[in-house]
Amino acid sequence: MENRGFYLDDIDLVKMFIDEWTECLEGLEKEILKLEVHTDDSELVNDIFRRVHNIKGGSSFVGLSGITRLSHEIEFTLDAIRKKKAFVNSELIDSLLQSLDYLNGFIGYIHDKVKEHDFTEDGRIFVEFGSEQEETAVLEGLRQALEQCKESAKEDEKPVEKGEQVESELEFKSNLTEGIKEQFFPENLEHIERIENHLLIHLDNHGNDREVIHDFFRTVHSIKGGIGIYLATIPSQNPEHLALKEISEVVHHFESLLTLVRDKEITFDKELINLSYEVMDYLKISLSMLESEEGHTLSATEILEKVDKYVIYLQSVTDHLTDSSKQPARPESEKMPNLPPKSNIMQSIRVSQEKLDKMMNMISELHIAKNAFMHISSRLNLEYDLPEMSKEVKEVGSYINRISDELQNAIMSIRMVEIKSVFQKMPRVVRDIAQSSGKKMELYMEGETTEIDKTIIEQVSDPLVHLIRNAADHGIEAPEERLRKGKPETGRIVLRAYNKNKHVYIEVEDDGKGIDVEKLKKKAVEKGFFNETQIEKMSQNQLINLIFLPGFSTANKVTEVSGRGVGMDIVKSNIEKINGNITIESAVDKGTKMMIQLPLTLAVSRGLAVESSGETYIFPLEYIVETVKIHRDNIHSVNGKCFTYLRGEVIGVEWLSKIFLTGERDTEKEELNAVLIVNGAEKFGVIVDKLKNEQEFVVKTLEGHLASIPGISGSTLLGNGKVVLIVNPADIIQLA
Amino acid sequence: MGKKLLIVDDSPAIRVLIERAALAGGYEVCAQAKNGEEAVKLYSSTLPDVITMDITMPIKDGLAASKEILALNPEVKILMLSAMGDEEIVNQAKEVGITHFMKKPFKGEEIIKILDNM
Repeated sequence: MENRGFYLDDIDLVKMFIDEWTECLEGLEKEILKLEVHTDDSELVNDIFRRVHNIKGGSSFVGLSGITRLSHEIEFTLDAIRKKKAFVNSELIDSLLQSLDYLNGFIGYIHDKVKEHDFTEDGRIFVEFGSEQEETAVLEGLRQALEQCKESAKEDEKPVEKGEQVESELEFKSNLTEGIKEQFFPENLEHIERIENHLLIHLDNHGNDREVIHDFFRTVHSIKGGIGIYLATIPSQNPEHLALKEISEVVHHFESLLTLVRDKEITFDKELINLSYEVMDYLKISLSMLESEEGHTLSATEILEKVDKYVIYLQSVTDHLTDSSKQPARPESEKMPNLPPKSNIMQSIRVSQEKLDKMMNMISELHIAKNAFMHISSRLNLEYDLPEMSKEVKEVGSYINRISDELQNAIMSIRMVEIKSVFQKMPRVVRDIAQSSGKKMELYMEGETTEIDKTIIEQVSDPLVHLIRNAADHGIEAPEERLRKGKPETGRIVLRAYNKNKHVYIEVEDDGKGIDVEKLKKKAVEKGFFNETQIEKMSQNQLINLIFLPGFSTANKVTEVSGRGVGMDIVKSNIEKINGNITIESAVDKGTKMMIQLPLTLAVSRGLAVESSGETYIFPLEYIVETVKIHRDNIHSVNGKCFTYLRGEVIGVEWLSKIFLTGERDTEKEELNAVLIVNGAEKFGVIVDKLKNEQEFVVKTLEGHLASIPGISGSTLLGNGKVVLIVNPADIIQLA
Repeated sequence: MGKKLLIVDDSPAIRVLIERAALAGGYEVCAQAKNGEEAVKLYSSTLPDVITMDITMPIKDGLAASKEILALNPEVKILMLSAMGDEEIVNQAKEVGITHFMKKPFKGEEIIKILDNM
């Protein structure tokens, strides 16, 4: 091989091999990229391995030793990944891809030779090898990447001890940190949340569920692994490094504790669960401090001491357990590695909310802009008398219409997330209250997979926590009281979400003491909200709604949990901010049910365009009950206020022009167009000159001095490019 | 008539290579399988005297297929074709009772020589 080339003599065989290799290589690149995300997918690794193996075998037959060497090296790397001796990182993937490119290039080169019949006189092919340097570089690159991955795999097992030695060589990696950091925090917080809201809650009731204990152990191990990798990217002078090391130590010790629990078949008792919660709290707080780059973290000494003490305690307790009790534990713990792999986890990427919002905004504008086609089409027909042209424009318009609809649906579905993310917090909330108050209660959750717009979820989270707290703290009675009332000792809180009529409903229902209307009455009078005669006139429903008044709180004593100054009024206003609605049903000693109605999305609304004094306005559809024609004679006026009878009901009416001071009441016409709007229980008729069409609109908020015009909530663009104002019906009722 | 041979390999080119050599060496190639699962099926329907068995294959690998075939007939002769890096599997195969191995790459005459002596 001195002359860096050699002869291939069996052309047919070579052709066959080339076909085979091309086939093998085709999917390979994609699979290696997939490997970057699914490092645990052993089937995937096996398939890649097999493909490379095939190339290796074949190349050895035709004497292409360069390919054999390289594919052997790739195989070797894959084997390390398969046996979990190396961690897949992006550098390793890069080198794998590089090797693949090299293979591809080489095989392509031979392929061309065969195709071009570039044979020597005796019917053979002379193959020149690529430059030796290149081949060596590729090989070396792969070897080095693998070595580093092996290091980090080792390091992961012993992050604390190993840390110091590798530090210096890892310092140059600090530019990597940002990318890893972006993943590190959310990932670990996800782990912690899962432990808190899933595993620990489960272990609280079933302390001996070995599966869940294994799961717990694995999750903690993943956290440790994550910290180890992140740690490796931070230069040691960095204060973060020290802080992270401390955190890593806590996790490490906690893991040892769990190892004991796992191997010695220890049941999770209350104390252990409380300790676990403390550790999780510590992790959450110190990680978020790190993330916010405050540079300092909680001291770990206290929590470390607690964990260590428990470890010693467990060791002493279990040391004198008989061997026979340990025996059955073995097979189960050996089962651990082949528990379901993570392959069923859905593939996903993280995108910043900002990007999504921007895209949403643009699609919304497209949605509006497309309306222009219909406009132009009708103008072409009517004004320019070009019916053919008009038809064409209309067709294009409806095509774009369809695309923009699909686009909107697509982005909408991206923004939809399962309500699970909010619900998950609740078990912990309920548990904490149960712990501190000595009450017994259980939380049942239904419809966790209901989907709702991400922005809405964020807004609804706090109010929901508040409602759950209320239910647990004020709703559910102490056990003795419940027994006295003939109810089961354990209180029941149901958190439920479901879809109905293009809305999402979330309900919080408890079987506690309910809202005592009499108490509310007394309090309303005491606090001077209403006088006694006013109160007596109120319906049951109105009375219960008193709790939404600012500064109205029914708790006899304000406890640490629910008396945080966030009243029901804040809950209500927060929910109304996202176009939601909250209603209450309650019966004394039966329980209370809070119902939140939420729109599926905030992005696009539907509304009715109307005309008044030559100006177009839009009424949001949610507030409209119906549109009616009212005869002039059916409008009566008392003290300057107008009303009408509609199917036996007295309803206040007013001209929109009068409300907006754009004109006088127009009583010329016999039939008057009215939009019947509703806010809560109150109905009101708004008389307009003309009812136009129903259409979609995107709210653009008004800014500066225009922002606080009463009766107007924002503006939007129509298809013809005209800006129109959106009416705020709740304000209108107030103004009239 | 020569001995009946079953060729098991996921690479068509290698199958052709072995086939050529076998025909030249006076063997009857009764069937060719491209994975372990096919090998087991084809074994039952063709009952060959000797089998050349590749190790790394999709669906079912050569070791698993050999085990199953040996369970059907402990007398059948299997020549296992190993590659660089397959040492571990070769050791496992020896435990299963496979006695003949050949390292890739090989020449046509070499494989016939081994098959003749089995």
